[in-house]
Amino acid sequence: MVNLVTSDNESFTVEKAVASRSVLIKNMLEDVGESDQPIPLPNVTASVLKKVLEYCDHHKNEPMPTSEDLAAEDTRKRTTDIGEWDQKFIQVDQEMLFEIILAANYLDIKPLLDVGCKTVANMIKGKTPEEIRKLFNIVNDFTPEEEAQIKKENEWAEDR
Amino acid sequence: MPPPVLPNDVLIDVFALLGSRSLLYFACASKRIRNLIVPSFLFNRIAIHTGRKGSLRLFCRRIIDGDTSYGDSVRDLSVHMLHYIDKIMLANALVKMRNLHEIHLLNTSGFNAGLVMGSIGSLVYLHHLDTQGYIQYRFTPAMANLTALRSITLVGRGLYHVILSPSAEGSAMPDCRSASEKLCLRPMSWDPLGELRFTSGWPVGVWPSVHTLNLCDTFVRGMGDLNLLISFPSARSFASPQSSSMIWAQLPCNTPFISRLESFEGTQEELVLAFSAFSNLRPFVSTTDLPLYFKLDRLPSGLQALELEFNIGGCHQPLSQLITTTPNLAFLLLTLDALDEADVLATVEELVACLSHLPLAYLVCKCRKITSDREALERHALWDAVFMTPALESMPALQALHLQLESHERRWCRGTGQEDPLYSRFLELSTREEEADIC
Repeated sequence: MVNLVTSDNESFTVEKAVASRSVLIKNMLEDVGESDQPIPLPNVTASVLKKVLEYCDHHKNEPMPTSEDLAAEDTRKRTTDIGEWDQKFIQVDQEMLFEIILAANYLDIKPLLDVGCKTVANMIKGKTPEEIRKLFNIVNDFTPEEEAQIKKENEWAEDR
Repeated sequence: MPPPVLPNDVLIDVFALLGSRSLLYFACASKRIRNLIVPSFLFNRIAIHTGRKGSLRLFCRRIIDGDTSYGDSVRDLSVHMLHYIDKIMLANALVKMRNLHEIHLLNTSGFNAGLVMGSIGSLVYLHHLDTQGYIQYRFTPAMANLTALRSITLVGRGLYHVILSPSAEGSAMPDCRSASEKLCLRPMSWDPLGELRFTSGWPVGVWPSVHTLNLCDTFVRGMGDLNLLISFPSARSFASPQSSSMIWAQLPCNTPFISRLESFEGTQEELVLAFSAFSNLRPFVSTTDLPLYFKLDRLPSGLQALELEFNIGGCHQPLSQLITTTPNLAFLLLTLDALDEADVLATVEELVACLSHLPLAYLVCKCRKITSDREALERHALWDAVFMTPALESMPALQALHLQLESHERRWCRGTGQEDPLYSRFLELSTREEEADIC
């Protein structure tokens, strides 16, 4: 078993196979060897780690993506299809979604990061620039003329 | 409380999943986002349908007149409906897309390919060439510079001729011919024997690295004399030419070629002509035009993927025969034509009942030309009850499912991201048109 300690000082004891879905933790375990020392995760809160571990537990028996898989994915056209279980799992409020993505990025859990990014991509599709700003809490630093110019210069991109 | 800010490396992963319009609107959100998206992501993968608003002309103008980084950012270009007036502008823009890896020119208007093909010849990094709808293809000497080309798809119009030899004398085998892994020529007329010459003992016209060869619907001159193993020694996937040429399967010299095949698209008649040689076959796509003679019990037992297209009226054999004939079947596509509502229901119920005995992971069932009133069919609320729920309950290995009744669709997917080629094929067959924006 592996002991993980979150930024808000909560402790989680999980199977090694679950914790090792995170490449960061897997590498730590390999570097340290057998040890009872808790692993601190200063960038992840308990509420987020609980969700992340739920994902890792569900997928613990699946093969880890290899570097060849990741390289092949870069050259392949990617879809935004999300599996049935993952879809239900990722139905959380936007703040939690972004926190899960940040945690997946920090813990290096590529399949979870993919699910999060696909969900964000699906949220963006069909939205106007103003709606996207609200979604991401982005401050508009374009003048109306500058924004109109970008759209005009790239009018071809509105084809679809 | 505002959501946390996503770092650039995560945003970049999101950009890679978005189509052009979504990227443009995202780029309009702020200067920081614009600088991330333009030009590297906005110009990276372009898909334009020129039927709308002259988009291709606007795009080409941007590439020709804009910063060189725009053209340099284009990796994948896909153009639908290329008209004559756009062709010259596209030819001028293409030479500025120096890093282009893939080009797809689809549904072109039926004019000679010369000008655009000439511009394509300058794209030294091009990996994938896919053009459809031209009336004549001729690989000019300039195209011999396409040394990086790995995949060639030329879809013609009827029996216009294709000439692939870049040199009439055949004095040199260009690198693109020696390294190409996929060759798809359809439907057109091709004379591979005419291109096959030996100069100083060096074979010209041989495609030594092609593992995927698709000649579906093409008229191949001299097919009855062609030794496929000499011309395509590495082929593992083969779609045979017009059925009138099925004699190729009987030629003893082609037995070694057939016995190496892992995937075959053609008629069952061809399969039966060399049945024992086809023993390594895993996927089989039948484009049968004689459904009456299609025998479900005459298939290689090792088959893992089967795609069948036939008129349901022509198939009087129980689908349950597949259980004993192909016990390892993991992928099945059935495209059924000319059904009424009762036939659809009966077929779907039979499918679920018999397929539960197979280790099926992917199932696609498409019913076309349904004779019942379409609205009545779509009102039918029982598809979940007669198909989806029983299929999911009785087939534990199922990963993805797609039922299509004309425009009415039911889809289900257990998970995604598998590296399984069968899953890629499932996506190819079941992806809806409108999803193409996010690719």
